[in-house]
Amino acid sequence: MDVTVSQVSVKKAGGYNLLSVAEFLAMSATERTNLILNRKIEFLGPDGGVLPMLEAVRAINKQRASVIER
Amino acid sequence: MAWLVLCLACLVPSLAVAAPESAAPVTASLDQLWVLVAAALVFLMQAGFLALEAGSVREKAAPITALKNVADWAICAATFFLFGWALMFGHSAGGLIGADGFSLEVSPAGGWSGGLWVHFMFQLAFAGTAATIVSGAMSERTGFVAYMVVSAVVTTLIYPMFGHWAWGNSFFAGNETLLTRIGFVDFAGSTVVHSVGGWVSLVGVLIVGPRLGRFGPNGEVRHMRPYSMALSGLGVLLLWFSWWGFNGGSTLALDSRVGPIINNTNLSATFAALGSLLHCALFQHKRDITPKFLNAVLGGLVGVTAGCAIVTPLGAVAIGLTSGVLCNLASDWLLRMEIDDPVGAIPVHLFCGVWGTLCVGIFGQSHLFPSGKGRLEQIGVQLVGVVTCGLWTGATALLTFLAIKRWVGLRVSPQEEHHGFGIAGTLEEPEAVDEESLRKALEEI
Repeated sequence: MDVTVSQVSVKKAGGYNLLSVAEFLAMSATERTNLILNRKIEFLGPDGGVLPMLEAVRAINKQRASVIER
Repeated sequence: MAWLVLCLACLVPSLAVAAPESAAPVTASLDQLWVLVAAALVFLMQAGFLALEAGSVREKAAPITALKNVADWAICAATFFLFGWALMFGHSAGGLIGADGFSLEVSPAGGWSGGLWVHFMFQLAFAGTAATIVSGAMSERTGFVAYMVVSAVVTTLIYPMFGHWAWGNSFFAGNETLLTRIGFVDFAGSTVVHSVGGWVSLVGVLIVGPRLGRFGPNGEVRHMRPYSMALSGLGVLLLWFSWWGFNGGSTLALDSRVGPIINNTNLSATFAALGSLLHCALFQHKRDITPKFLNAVLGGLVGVTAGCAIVTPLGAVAIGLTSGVLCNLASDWLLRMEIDDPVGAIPVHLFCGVWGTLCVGIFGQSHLFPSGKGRLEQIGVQLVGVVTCGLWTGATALLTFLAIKRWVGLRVSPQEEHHGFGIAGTLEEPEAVDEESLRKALEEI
């Protein structure tokens, strides 16, 4: 089944922020990678549910590719 | 009522002592007693908001929503004592900001009256109302720390500053300020209290975003079951009762205005509820009719708050009917815009606050306009007050929320939002992931 990332939750010093996929992809690649490796990020599906990390990273790569194509 | 009789009975000895000398001390004591009773009623609004909000959110979020209502009162009581009171009611510096009375360090030589402490309690309860409005609008997804910071900023700066502009002359003759100079009328706070809370709420929900899963990919609204409409109903009744003190006590004296003011307050709420019910049944296919009905009562109360002292009973009816319908329309509009306000704070406090303030000019008895302006001119003045409030509150709230987002984080984690959370948050175990596969996937990012 295809996984779609709709939003991204990023951990901050005292809470979390919700970003759109576009906002997440606008970050530098280094910043994105660090957030993921430090487990400071969670990917959310269209219903707001938390997606498994590995599947979500693969999905967002595909979404990124389609954004670039467009 | 029994409580009021008891209070009056306690006052009898002081009446007996005072009577032979002069009627003035008796009047002053009665005035102070009335303001104190009103302060107690306005404090009871905290309980009303707690019940309303805890009942309107989903069950898992009810405990933290209730706790936030208690916590924001504590924050408010501290900050308003330290800074808010002085900034709002102190001697004005250039009509912009109060400059003395911090931590209630005042001296009679400074012109502060003996009733200061009673008035402080009354005004503190008002500040608490402005702050707690925000908790409902942002409930279920806003972090506890973030919310406490917002509450502190509202009661330290946002509310007292605008309050000074509109009410800064309440205690000192000649202490004219930005809006009092032009004859702005907001008797008990449609704008000063409710719109301020409403503007902060609107900016807050726009920045924090909706609850997870509230809107589908194409904007469709997903129903989120409220915990208990019965609890919300109790909250509304507590608020309705408390509002008699909110508006009636704003005379700051027990005089002939109190009766008509309370009557107008009650009439507006009544007709707002009935107007909303009919409007929703006839024109909105009974969509969300129960929460709309409950919120319309509050919309009517907010709407009449600015003009309750200068409208006729029929004027109060008109304000109520229009406020109830406005509440319904605003609720649907917010959903169309994908703005998630779980308790309907924005339609009630912002939309009806703005409308009620304009209604002073529209339905008020023109011979009672304090500045002697004509009706159209008074409407213009009211509009200036509304816009000033929107600009000041919107801008300061925006800066506050953006700063919190940047340095603290506004929301709870997705897990906390799904399962509910407490003041200390929840302990989370990070998901176990195969590091090698993850690094490989990341190489493509």
